Amino acid sequence: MAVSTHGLAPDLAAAVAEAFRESDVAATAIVGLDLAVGSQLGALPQAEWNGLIATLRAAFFVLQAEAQALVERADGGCLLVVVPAHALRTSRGCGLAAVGGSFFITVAQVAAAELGPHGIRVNVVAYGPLDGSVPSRVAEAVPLGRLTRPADVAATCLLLAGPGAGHVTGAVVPVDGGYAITKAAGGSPFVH
Amino acid sequence: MTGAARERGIGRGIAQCLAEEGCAVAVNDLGADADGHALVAELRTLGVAAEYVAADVSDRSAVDAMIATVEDRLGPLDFVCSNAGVADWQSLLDVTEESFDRLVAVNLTGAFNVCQAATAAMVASGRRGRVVITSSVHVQMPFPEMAVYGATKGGLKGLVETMAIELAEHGITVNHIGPGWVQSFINDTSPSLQTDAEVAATLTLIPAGRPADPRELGRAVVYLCSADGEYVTGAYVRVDGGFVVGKY
Repeated sequence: MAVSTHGLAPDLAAAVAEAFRESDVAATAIVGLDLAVGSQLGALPQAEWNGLIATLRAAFFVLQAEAQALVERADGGCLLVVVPAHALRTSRGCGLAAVGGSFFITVAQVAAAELGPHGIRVNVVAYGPLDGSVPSRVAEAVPLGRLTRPADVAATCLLLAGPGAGHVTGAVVPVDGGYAITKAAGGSPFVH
Repeated sequence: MTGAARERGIGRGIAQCLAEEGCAVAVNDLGADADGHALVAELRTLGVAAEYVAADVSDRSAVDAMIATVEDRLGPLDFVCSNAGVADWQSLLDVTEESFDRLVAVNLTGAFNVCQAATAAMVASGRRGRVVITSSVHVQMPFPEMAVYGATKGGLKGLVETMAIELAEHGITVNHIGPGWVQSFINDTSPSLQTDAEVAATLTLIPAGRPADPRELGRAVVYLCSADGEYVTGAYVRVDGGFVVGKY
């Protein structure tokens, strides 16, 4: 196991550690954004916005440091960015996740373009609403019929870190049961 | 209209087009007072009211004061264009904290500040307003050495789409425009546009074979702010001469 994780929600970090435990993938660093949903942007307190920016700033410079370390090792490697699927399809009350996730998808794709010549791949996992973090009725908006589990996210991280994804870089892979494809009828499930 | 003063800039082109349609225009910028006052004088010759309001969009209290000043001098807001932006060219490994903070503060937090404050004013006055944010072709096609700039523009897409959903009940539309290459102040320091040969090479990447005139972005904004644009929200209007659609 040669994986480091930063910024992931604790249950995602635990699932990733479990998934990578027996693996022998190339050096991999995973940078996640754990962003809250629930606040509408019009009424968003400045402190919450500033919190988003602080999260993005920390994640950016961690990614930079991990990229620098991989470049210095000169043996390729893999960077994974883990963002909420609201980056792909937002919803009422999900502005911080949409802004932060969209921000980081672009960071990852530019990193992929710049680090490709070093044999370093950079990909994005966009995870759907996590089981236990949102009302269970959100599952009605998921084509596969259930909310996302940390193990789903971890398994795809492992897939992207492995040799089977050796020619994959700059990709944004939704791990969301199809959540980002479309929306549930009858309005947002996120606001009561 | 933020980031609107500078010669050759997109904001100036948007301001001119809106004024030609009869809008009273508040011209905002920072560190460009002479250009701002000159633009205001030009717009007034079109027979519209115009004011120059210097403010740093990354400073929330300054933005709140600006919105109050604009409504006091020109009346309730109907349209807000968040256009102020800054760029740097650094490889990912070389991005400095200073650069990250400045680009995010102006491009992303600045847009949030302006849009939140302006739409609150629109809701308070009952105006069915329009919000137009200048994002970039980077939303669809980011460039090396511009990770933070591109990321701020990507973030604006999330901001626009979420605000479009949340503000629809107030009759407010929120959209963004995607300029390609404009020969504006922001691009003067681009490392790939310093010689005639580099400019010519860049032009070969654009199917239309030329940079955009800022007024071409301005006409797109006029559409989004017009009766014709009433049903357009959460949308991205790319005005780039085809820059994004082909790689070479």
